[in-house]
Amino acid sequence: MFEEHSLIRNVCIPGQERYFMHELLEDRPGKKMLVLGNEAIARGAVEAGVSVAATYPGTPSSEIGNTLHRIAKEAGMYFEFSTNEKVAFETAGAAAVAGVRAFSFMKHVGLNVAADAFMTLAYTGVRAGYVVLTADDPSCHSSQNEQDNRYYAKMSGVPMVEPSSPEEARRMMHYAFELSERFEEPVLFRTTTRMNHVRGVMEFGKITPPKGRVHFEKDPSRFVTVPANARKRHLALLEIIPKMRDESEVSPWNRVVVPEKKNTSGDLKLGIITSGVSFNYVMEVLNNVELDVTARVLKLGMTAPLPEDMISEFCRENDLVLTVEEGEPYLEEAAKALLKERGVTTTVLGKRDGHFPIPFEYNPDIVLKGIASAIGSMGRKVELPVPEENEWDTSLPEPPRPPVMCPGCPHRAAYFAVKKATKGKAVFPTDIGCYTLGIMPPQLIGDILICMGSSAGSAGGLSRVVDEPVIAFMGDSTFFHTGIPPLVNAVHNGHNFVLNIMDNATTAMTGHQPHPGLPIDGMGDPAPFISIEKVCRGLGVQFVRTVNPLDLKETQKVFEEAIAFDGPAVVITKSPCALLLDRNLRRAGRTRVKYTVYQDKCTKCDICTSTFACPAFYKIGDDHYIDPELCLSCGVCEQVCPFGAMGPIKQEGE
Amino acid sequence: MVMLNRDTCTIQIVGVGGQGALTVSRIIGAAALKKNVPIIISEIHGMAQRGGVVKTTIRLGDTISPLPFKSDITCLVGFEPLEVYRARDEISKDTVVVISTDPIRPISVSSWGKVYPEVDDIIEEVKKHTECTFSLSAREKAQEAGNERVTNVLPFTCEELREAIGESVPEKSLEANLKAFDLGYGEVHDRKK
Ligand SMILES: Cc1ncc(C[n+]2csc(CCOP(=O)(O)OP(=O)(O)O)c2C)c(N)n1
Ligand code: SF4
Repeated sequence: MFEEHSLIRNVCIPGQERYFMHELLEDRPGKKMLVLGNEAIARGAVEAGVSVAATYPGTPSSEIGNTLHRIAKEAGMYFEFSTNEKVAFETAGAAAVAGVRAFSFMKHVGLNVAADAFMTLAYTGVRAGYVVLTADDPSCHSSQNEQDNRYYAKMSGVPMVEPSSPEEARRMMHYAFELSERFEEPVLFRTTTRMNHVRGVMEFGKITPPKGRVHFEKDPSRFVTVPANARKRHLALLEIIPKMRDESEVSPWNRVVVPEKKNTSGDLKLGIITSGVSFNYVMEVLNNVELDVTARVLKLGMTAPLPEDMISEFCRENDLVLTVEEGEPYLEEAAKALLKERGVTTTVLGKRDGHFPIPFEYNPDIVLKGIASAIGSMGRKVELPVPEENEWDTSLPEPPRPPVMCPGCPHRAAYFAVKKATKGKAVFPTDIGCYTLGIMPPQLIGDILICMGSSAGSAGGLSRVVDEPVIAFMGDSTFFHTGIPPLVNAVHNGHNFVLNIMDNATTAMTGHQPHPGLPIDGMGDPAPFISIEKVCRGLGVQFVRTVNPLDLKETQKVFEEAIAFDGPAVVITKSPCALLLDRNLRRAGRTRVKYTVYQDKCTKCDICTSTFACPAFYKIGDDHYIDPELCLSCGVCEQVCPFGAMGPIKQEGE
Repeated sequence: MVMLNRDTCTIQIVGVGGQGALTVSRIIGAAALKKNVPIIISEIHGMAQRGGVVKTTIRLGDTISPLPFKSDITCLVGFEPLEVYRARDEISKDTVVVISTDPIRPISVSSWGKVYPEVDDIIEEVKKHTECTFSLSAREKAQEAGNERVTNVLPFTCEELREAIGESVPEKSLEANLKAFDLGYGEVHDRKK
C-alpha cells in the first residue's frame, strides 16, 4: 500500500505541461501568453490577490484547480482540493467573511451540491471579495446534465458576470472581486465549456500579493443566520440589489458592439442581446454573412442583475431584437417581461418563438439559422448562401468510437469478477467516474446513475424492492465526495446490498487529482490519508474486505461472500489507475513486460474479446493479437483466457 | 453553406485521444504567438483520454469565434482515417485534407464485431469532394524518424514551426519530433510539385 502511494505521489500533479509551471506567475504586466481559459482564470485569481482558493474537480473547470495545485505555494495562496463542492464553497466563503479575498470554483452540478450554503451566504454576504465560479457544460461534453446556472444568480440575488474569452476572463476576475467588495456579496462567475477549454492570447496584468492572516471581527447579527437575523439579512440583500442594478447600467462590461465588415447599412435595424460565448458566434455571423440589416449587439458581461434601462433603451432603438444565448431563455424572458412592463413595443424573438434551440452548444451555423429564421418570420426574405451539394457515399461502415476504460484498468478487472460472481443476475446502481464506462459492452454494468454518490443511496431503495442481489459501484473520490452518508444510512436502516468501492488511488476521470485518501494535499504537501476500509468499519459495516481486482479468482470469491452476507457489505477493490501507474513507471525509467497472444495455443474462441475486451486486443481475420503499444502489462488477460494463450512476451531463448 | 471567412485560416484536427492533437495545436500556437498572428484554439477535453474522438479547432486570423462555420474549414488534418470520414460534413471543395492512413480500430471493431471501412474507400471518397488531398502513413514516417509516438505531421510550412516544436515538446523527444516533421513536410511538399 505504501509503495503504491509513493508511486502515485509523483504523478498526483496533473497535466505535466512544464512550460506553464512558473511562467503563469511572472509579474510582467503586458507579457502575452497563449493560455487555456482555465489558466487565464487561475492567473486572474493570482493577480487579484486571492488568499484562499478551494474546489472539487469537475470538467470543464478542472484545469483551474490543476493550475493552482502547481502554483499556489509560489503565489502565496492557500489552495485545497476539498472533499466536495459544498465544503469548498464554505471553506473559501468563510475566509472571505473573515476578510481575505477568496475563490471557489466547480462544475455546474457542483453548485447544486454547494447550493445550500450558496443561497444563505447571499444573505450574510462577505467582508472581502468572494468569487464563485460555475462552469456550465452545454451539450454535456462531460456531464450528466446541461443545467443553466444563471438561474442561481437570480434565485440567490448575487451579481453575476460572464466572460467571452480567456483574456476577458482574466480581466473579469478583477472586476468580480471589486464588485464583490463593493456590495459585500459573493459574485457568481459563470463560464461554459467553450470558454474554459478555449486557448487564446492573454496579456498579463499586475499581481497583487495576497493578504496574510486577519483578525476576525465578530458580528453574529450578520453572520449567524438564526431566523431573526436571517429576516434582517434578507431585507439587507433586497436593499443592495437595486444598487447592483445601477452598477449593471454603467458597467464597462455591458456595452453595444457593432459589426465592422457587414450588416452596417441595411434598412432593418436589428438588435441582438447576447452574452458569454454566444457573443463570439453572433459576431462571426454578422461579420461574414450579409443579411441586409443594420446590426447592433448588446454584449452583456454583467448578467445579474440585468441592466434594465439599457435593455429597454436598446430595444426601443431597434426594429427587431433577438436574444441569442445557449441554454434556457434567461435573457429572453427578462427582456420580454421588461418591455411589457415598460410599454416598449419592439418585438423580441428567441427560443420561446422557436427560432433558437434550448438544448446543446451553439456554433455560427446554428446562430445564423436562428437569426435568419427570426428575421424571416417578420416577413423579410433572407437570402442565405445555398448549401453545397454534399453527396457523400454514406454506405461505408462507420463503427462508433466510444470512450472506453484504458487497457490495464483495474475497473475492468473488477467488473469481470463481479459478472462471474453474479452470473449477470443482479441490479447494478453505478456512479460517476471512469468506472461509469462499465456500461459499455461486454461489461454492461450500470442500471441506474443520477449524480455523484447516488449509487449507494439508490442501492438502499432498490434492495427493499427487488429480488435480485444489488451491487453498487463507487470510486474512491466519489466515496469521500458524497458516498459516506448513504453508507451510514444503509448501516442504520439495515439495507442489504454490496457496495464496491473502486479504489484506484486517484480522481481519474477529471485528470487525476488527489483526494482525502491520498498522502498529498492541494498545496502539494504531504498529508494524512484517510483509510476507506477504516471509515467503513467505523461506520459499523460488518462485512468489509479489500481485494486486488487484478487477481480475478480472489476477487470473484470475495464478491460471492459479500453477496451471501446479510446486510450492507463493502468490497474495496484496490489497485492504482493503470494510466497513472504506467506514466509514473515510465518516468522512473521502469518498463514492464508486455503481453501477447501465443498463436499456437489460441483456439479462436473469442472469449477474450467477448467477455473482457481490453482495448489492446485486436483481430486480423480470426486471429487475435495484443497491440504492444497499447498494453499496460496488467496481466489480467492471462487469467481470462481459458487456454493459456495469452501471456507475457517471451524473451529470446525462454 | 459556403461563406468562407477569407480573413481566417481554420485548421480542424480530428483523431483519437492520446494521439497528440493538443501538442500539435500548442506548436501552432507557439508559432502564431511569435509572429503575432491572432489565434484561438478550441479543444474538448473530457472523455478524450479514454480513447474517444478528439476534435481540435485552430483559428488563425481575424476572428473571435472559437468555432467556425462548418463550411469554413481551410484544412482538415485527420490523424485517423475513419475520423476523417466521420467529419465529412466539414469538408468542402476548398478544404485541404491531410489523412494519416493508419487506422486505429475502435473497441466496436476490435471487440463488438463491427466492421472498419476500407481506408482506400475513405480516401477515394474524400478525393471526390475536395481538390486537395494528401494521404500518408504517419506511422511509417514516425518509424523512419525513430519514435513511433511521433506520428503527427503537419501541413503547415517552415522554420517557425520547427522552432515552435523546439519550444513545445520535451527535450528528449525533440530530435524525433523534428525528424518526423521534416519527413512529413517533405512528403506533402514533394507531392505538391
Ligand atoms: C457534483 C459533481 N462534481 C464533480 C463531478 C465531476 N466528476 C466526474 S467523475 C468524478 C470523480 C471520479 O473519481 P472516482 O470516483 O475516484 O473515480 P475514477 O474516475 O477515479 O474511476 C468527478 C469529480 C461531477 N460529475 N459531479
Ligand atoms: S484513467 Fe485510470 S481509472 Fe480511468 S479508465 Fe484509465 S486506467 Fe481506468
